[in-house]
Amino acid sequence: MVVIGTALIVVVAGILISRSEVKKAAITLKLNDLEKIPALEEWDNPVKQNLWKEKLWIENQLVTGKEDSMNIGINFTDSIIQLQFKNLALVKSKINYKIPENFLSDINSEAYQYFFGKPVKILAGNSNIAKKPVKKVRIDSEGNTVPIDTTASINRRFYWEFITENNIRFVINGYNSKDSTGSKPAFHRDIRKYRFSRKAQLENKRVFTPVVFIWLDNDDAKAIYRALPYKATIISRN
Amino acid sequence: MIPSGKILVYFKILISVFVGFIIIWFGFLKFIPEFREKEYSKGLKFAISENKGQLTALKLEKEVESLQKKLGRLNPGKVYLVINTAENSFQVYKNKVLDYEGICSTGSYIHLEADGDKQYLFETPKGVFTVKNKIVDPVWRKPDWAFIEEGLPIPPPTHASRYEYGVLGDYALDIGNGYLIHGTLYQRFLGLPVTHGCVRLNDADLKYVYDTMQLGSKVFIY
Repeated sequence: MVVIGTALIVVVAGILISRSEVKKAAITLKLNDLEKIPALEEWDNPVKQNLWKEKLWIENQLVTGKEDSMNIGINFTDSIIQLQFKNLALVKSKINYKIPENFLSDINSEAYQYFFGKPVKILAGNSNIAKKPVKKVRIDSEGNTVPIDTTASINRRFYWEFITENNIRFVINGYNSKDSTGSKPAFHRDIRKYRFSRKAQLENKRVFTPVVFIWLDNDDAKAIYRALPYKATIISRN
Repeated sequence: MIPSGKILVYFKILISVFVGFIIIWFGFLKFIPEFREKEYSKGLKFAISENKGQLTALKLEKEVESLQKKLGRLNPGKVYLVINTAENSFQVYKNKVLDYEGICSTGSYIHLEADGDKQYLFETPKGVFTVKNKIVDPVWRKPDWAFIEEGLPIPPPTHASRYEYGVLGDYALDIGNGYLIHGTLYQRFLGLPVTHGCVRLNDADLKYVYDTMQLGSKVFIY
């Protein structure tokens, strides 16, 4: 009994130590990433800062323009989100609301380059509608079409969250922006929904993960989501 | 009266001073370019340090300008067609300006299962395509799934029952892999996702698209 108990303690301790080592390694990696980035000249000058940002944004567009798959460009300064392909904006949708309003706007040049300086991939994400609204049917022996299963979405408000490889969480909510009454989205409800859904997938809390909530026209948001591959490239600027 | 001997001495002194001055002057001249260059570079260094900020901004502005030009040069051609499969709509652009738009029908996303493990997904492919062929009075060569859907036996590949005339409208644009942009008999379904992967347009829109799009024109589908 004593031997088994000791062995069990050793195994559990081993697992705990290895987990903490992984966490440490992850944090070190992130810090090292930031340390490797050179500072941009005279970043504190607002005119030059804007020029640097514009330069990085266009350079990124040139990179993604060479890709053979659709990608997404988010310009927080102009409040525009666009589905891009071969340097062509196929969908250009206005960001109607975003929280926080000034997303990562006051950061140093190294951090800016880390978050916005290069195209990044979507690592993981989830949505309340299917990428492909497939309706499965079968032809029976008499030639009749029999539905088997359907993933086709019901007409509901679109919700999509994803995390990028440089650790930004985007939470995109659709709402009827063409509504003539001018009603605003239910901000609190949408944010609450995000918190509940991510409970199960909370990762390393010690790595800084900025979150931005974006509200777009429902149809545009759906079209962008459906056109993109699962691990699409994303470029952004603020 | 100054004695003439003294005049001669004064004259000699004057000449010596003048010659000396000339020698010194030419001596200086020899080094002047170097001297000037040194002075110039000193001044330039000073000017650069004083206006370093302005120079960086100018350099950045030029870089941004040249990148924007580079980006502007990457365009998809004079005329291109954009098809939105989520909303079943299309737009024709000329020189990046919207020229024409309308509704269409795209893939139904029906996943058909038939006997013998045969499966078909009726989806319009996404991406960029080029017009490979322009066809007048297209003839539809019915694929296997058309017979499966009708509950009919599948005929041999060249059987006469595979060919149907007048069902694809007056024109068709071939965008490769068997996908066409064509007309339809079922115009009431336009705007809905009902096709087997092709893109259907109404007669007037089809005529416009056929006339406007050239061989090699780009078709963007998302």
